[in-house]
Amino acid sequence: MDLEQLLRASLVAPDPGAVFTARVMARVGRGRVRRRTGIILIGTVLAVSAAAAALVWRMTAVAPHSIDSVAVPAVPEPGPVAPVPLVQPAPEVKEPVAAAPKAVTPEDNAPRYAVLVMPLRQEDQDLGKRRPVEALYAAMLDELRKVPGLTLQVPGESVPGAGGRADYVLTLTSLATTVSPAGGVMVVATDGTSRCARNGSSGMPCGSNSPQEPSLPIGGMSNTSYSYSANGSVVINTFTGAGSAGRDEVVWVELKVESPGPSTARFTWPVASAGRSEQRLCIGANSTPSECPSPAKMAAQYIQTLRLQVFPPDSAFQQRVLQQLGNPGQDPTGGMRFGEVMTGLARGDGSRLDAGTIRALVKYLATQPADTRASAWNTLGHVANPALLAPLVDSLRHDPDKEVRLAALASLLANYSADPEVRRAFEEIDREDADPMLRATVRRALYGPAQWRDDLIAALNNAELSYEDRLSPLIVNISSGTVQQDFEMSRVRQTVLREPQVLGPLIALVQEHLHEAGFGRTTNMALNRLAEVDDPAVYDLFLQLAQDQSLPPLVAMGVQSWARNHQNDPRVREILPQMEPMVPSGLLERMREVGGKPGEGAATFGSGAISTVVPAAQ
Amino acid sequence: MLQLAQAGDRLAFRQLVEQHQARVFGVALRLTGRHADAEELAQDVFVKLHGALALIQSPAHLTHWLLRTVTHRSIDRLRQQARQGTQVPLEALGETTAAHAPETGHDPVAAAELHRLLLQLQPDARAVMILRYQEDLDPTDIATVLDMPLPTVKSHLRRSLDWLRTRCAGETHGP
Repeated sequence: MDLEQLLRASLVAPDPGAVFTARVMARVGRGRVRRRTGIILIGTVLAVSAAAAALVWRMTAVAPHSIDSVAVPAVPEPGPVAPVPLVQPAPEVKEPVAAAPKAVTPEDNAPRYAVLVMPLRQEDQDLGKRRPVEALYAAMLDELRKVPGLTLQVPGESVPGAGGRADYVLTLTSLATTVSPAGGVMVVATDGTSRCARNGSSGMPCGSNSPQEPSLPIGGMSNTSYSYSANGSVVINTFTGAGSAGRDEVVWVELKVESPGPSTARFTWPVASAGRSEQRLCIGANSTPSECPSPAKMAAQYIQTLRLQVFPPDSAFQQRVLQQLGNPGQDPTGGMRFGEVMTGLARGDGSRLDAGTIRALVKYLATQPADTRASAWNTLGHVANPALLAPLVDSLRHDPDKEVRLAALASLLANYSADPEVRRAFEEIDREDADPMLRATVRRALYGPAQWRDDLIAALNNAELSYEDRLSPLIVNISSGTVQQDFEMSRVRQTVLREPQVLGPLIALVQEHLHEAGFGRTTNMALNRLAEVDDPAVYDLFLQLAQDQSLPPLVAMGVQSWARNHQNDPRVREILPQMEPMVPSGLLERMREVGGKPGEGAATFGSGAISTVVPAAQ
Repeated sequence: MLQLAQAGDRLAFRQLVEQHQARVFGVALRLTGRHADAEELAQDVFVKLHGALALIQSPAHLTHWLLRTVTHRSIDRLRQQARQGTQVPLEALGETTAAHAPETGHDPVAAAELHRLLLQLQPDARAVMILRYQEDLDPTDIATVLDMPLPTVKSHLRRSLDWLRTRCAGETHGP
């Protein structure tokens, strides 16, 4: 086989599976980032880098820093700590005792670590832009001093008894900017890389198709911009959620968190992360207090995030954050968003999820809507922590919302399927539950693919069931937690679906309900399953559907997806013009070119979960 | 679907993710050689997409945006790792790629060997090869996605193919 053919054949994109999708949706959280227009004149981006080893909070082999740093004793953290008291009050005694038991305070239980904050680095030369960064820096130092267990080291400050060793090193830098060829703003990060941060006058989105924008925009999870206007108000927003209209200048700030340890790997981190659209850091007199957190408030939010996601786990703090999530009005900092909290709790090996934190989480979730509950279980789906087992089982058994129960089920399947309590819950659902999807899922987990096949055939042929119930075993979409196992499940499904007693009734059933918009989601999911099957009957179905202009939108999506994965098929190419504008522009031309070259018809295009190879001669 | 997602329809966005996740994850995986890195990068790309949906003008733009973003982020990650001396050992790459070798109907050993060899290419050249042979982009599109002159793309393709042929024939020196 020719090398190029071999490359095409072996470089088929592997689908990361349903777990991946669930994790993305969980991170996306509770809907799109809201937008606010107007005020933004100057922005900064805050990106935090931290060592992967930051999650290992006590490192014994940290080399001392040579700088002259000093320690500032931490101030005890005020206020209530946990919904469940950590310590019962000592009993009152009448007679003196030798040594009364000392009450344990939050700071006694807090992890101990040292944070070295390097001097503020101002690479932006504009004095006006430097001021809010200075204010933020000062406020962050103040916040760090309040963290129980944290020994703050600040070069130049003189406090007796200071140690020279730091577990974390924080560096705040205002970044220099240049003008891009298209007139946009290029930000020069401390590692020397330049990135497009703002649209140029061409009007093209930053980092889009414009060949004149030579680099990517800073965006996504780690892209939080800091903007301030001439009147002194500062807006912090995610870059991608911000329009470009009305912006003049941008000053960018980078916050780097390093943890000296055996691993030099680092990751970028959002300080004000996904879900937080915009917040104004008020510095000038013209700002509106209700909309503009003070620098101290903003710094407090940043330090909260670091404590939750980077610094060593602090159970009391985590419980308080969860408590505040449920009472946002009582939080002086304005509180963290659910997505930020869950991202922090789920990070790493799940070591942040101690029993107290999980109790607080369950208590919080009990007051939240279904999408929040489902999102929590989806986020924690990859965390195998025995303390989560009981709440997950309880959610599976008793939550009133099906999506929440499915999310709990997915997590149980991925991490605890061998546990006797989990199996008992599965058996109970199999016997008693009214939901066919849940029953089908647990039956598959309990009895394996052979039983699943029998269930599928029985459901498809049972005309007394509703359309959705007849398809339930087919559209069971519970991942087992690993890509390899997902592949295996997909393989089994494809084998079963190719059987004539399955494929025939299934296609007939789907065709019967194709145009019923109320079943659009169910039909879409069934089509996704069918799309996995490489069979002439499936091809015929999709080719027929591809020419049907009257399909409900969700059904049309499934057809579109199939067509994209089979664009190298000459039969699909023939009908592509009828499918525009579903097909990306420019692709048709390429496909026509490919179609004209002998032997190229076998080339796969796109990400297809299925890579059906059809010779051009067909 | 794009319009639905832009209007805030979560199901539509989920469909977008499902539709493109193999493409995005696949590029990240082949570029970085590490499943964990690829998943993190791919997730980041979709989270970023969620915030940038309003900027996406068409399905074609979406595909281009995703490929461009994941490719650049993966290359950035590789360069960062190279600076920090944390390049993935080749023996680990073999395991990683074999574990996620696609079902192609071809010799999985040969496929894994090709993946291993690709991971020895420089990041830019690797990206060009992946966009050409995994995503089937033509050189002009690759040049746009990578912000790279067209002659450079063609040069990477030619040199990488030559090098791969040499390696497959048993030679040991790199490109």
